[in-house]
Amino acid sequence: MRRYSLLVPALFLLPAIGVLFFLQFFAWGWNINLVLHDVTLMNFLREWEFVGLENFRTVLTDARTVTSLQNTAIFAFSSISLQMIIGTAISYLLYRAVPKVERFFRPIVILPWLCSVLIAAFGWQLLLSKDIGLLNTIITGLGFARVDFFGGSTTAMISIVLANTWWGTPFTILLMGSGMTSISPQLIEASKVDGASEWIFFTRVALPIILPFILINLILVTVWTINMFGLILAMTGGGPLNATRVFPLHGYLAAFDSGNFSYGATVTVFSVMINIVLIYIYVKIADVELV
Amino acid sequence: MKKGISLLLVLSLIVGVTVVGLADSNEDEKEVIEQKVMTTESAGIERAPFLGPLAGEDMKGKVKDNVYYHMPVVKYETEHPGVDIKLKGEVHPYGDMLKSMTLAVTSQSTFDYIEMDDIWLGKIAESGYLSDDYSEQYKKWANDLGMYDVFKKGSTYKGKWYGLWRATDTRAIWVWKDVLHEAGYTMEDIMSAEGLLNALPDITKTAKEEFDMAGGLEYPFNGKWVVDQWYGWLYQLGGKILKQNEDGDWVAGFNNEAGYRSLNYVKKLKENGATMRRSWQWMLANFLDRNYAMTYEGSWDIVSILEKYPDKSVQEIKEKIGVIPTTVFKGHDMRVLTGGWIWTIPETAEHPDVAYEVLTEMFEDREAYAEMTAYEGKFPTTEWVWESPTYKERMIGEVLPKEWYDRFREGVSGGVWRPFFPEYPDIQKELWDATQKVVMGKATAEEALSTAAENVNEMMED
Repeated sequence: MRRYSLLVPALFLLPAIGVLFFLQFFAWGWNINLVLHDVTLMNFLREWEFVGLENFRTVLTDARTVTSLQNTAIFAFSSISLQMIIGTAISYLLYRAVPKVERFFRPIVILPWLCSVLIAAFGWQLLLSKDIGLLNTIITGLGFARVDFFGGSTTAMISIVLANTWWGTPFTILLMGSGMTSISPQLIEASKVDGASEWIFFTRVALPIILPFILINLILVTVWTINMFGLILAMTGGGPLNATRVFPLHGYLAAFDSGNFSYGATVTVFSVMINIVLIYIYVKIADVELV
Repeated sequence: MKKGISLLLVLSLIVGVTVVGLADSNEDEKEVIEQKVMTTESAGIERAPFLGPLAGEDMKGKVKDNVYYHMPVVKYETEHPGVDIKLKGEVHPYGDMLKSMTLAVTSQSTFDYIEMDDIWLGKIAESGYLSDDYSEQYKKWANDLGMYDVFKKGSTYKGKWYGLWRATDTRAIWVWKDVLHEAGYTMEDIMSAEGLLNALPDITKTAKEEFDMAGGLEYPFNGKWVVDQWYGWLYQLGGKILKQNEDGDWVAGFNNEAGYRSLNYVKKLKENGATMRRSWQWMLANFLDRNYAMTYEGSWDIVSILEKYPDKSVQEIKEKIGVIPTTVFKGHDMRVLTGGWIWTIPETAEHPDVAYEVLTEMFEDREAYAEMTAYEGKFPTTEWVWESPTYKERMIGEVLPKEWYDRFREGVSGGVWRPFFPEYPDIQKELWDATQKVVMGKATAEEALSTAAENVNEMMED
């Protein structure tokens, strides 16, 4: 058998790695450069003033940062909880369903995840619209007054949480479904013989087996939810009164709505730090070694 | 014989190809100049017979004769027979325009023209992206055409002219007269601020009960530009967005009685039955579909209304629909916000000289300029065009009944403009927050405007 030197595959990989590193380092380098200077739309084409870590202070002392972090926490906690509970429950029901039913429903329940987040956003906007929304048509049909879902702080937050849960849950169903296939059929039989109820089987047998899947799911869903902004931008634009202004949207609006690029770049640095901390906490708690 | 026919065919083919080739080569001799234009649908471009963004397409020839870019470009080409101008349009939704201009600045895009809302001029001019090379010429055109002061100020930044505010519009309240009359009121009754407030509960009740409508007045509330309607009332009562203090510094001019009273007026509109809409998207359609008895939209909808009733004359439409630029507080003069579109040439333009000459064609042929403004259903920023027989003939009767024409002219001449400072877009957000807080009952007008004033003053200090 002909033996190849390690150099050949390395050379083939080099351009791809080079491009990847360039893009990563360039993007980060550019971002850090923005963070260390005072760059706005108004001085972008002129000299940039070096401000050191001043932008971190500005972001941290801004009341809108606090609001956006609170909104992110509410949005993430609600979305992730709903997504995990509903996703795991549906996944378990599909796992325990007879194969015909399972084959029929599985493609249907993953449909939301197949559509773009913007389509989901506009769909929910139409569903909840005060004037032409299906929900309001039902509400008024029942004799109640129309509800302006996007006009109130709480209802707007509930709206984006529901939309995000609807869009994201299929991923949990898919991942948890994979986890459940690793439960040995013998265990189900043994549980039946021992007279374990469905609840006992789920909590004492299935759950410990699928725990690593839950953890991976939790990490991915947390990162995605905390970084979610397209759906919120399209549905509410962060309003009303900043009630749905989540942290990534806060950075985006600062950079591209107000033209404060350094501020926006600083928010992205904080976002990355938050993500790293969360992943570290999850990994530590579960004591799972990620390769 | 067969050989003869074949020879004839071959000869015909050769002659044909040569003729076509010569024609092509004549065409090729023309210098093709690509002119990139950035504008927004709201600038009136949606009136042209094409839809949606046109990135990469040649806009010239796709608009009706004598309208918009078409006419000055064609005139330029006639005077320069060796030039073929291709207009490449980038048409953005209004809400995306500032972001698109921000990206154009950061990437130093080579647009030849940008047509922008006046509220962004300061911010983009401050960035250094817009050319001030034509400052003197813009000023001359404005003076020659008798431009109103408000539009002159809006076309300048730090003493330099960055473009010309070519057309304007005002805010407007559109009314279904049958509902109004059924409720027991006339147009005159709702022209005053107090009159509308007084009539609103009855109009809302009648609209719902007698006409099966969704409501009486639909008011755009949550979009950040909705403060524009409030400005009219603020200025009527003596307030301002910004004013100069005794040291000459610009500070908030709304944290006072005029501000509180005008903002409470918006709140009372809601309390008296106005439906607060998230934005004015679909609002005109909602009104024309008779879902609301009244809507607070803009004068820019005139053409849309005409298009909705192609078989009806302006007079027939006037019998059904009424319009007022804004309500006026008793004892005060009409002040209503005038918006509009400024043509500018960026510093990075690829063919700035051609762009400048095309603008010259546009602003020096006054008759054509007047006709273009009338066709779009826009209002002039200059005394000359308002007085021009071309504009009057085309507008009165074809676009507007005389009564509307006079009312809008009164609105424009008493126009309010938004400050040219680069900080304006952020000031607008502060005031939007304040409006929302008051209408949603989260703060009193005094509290909300006091907080907004603090933030605005801080912005202006920086």
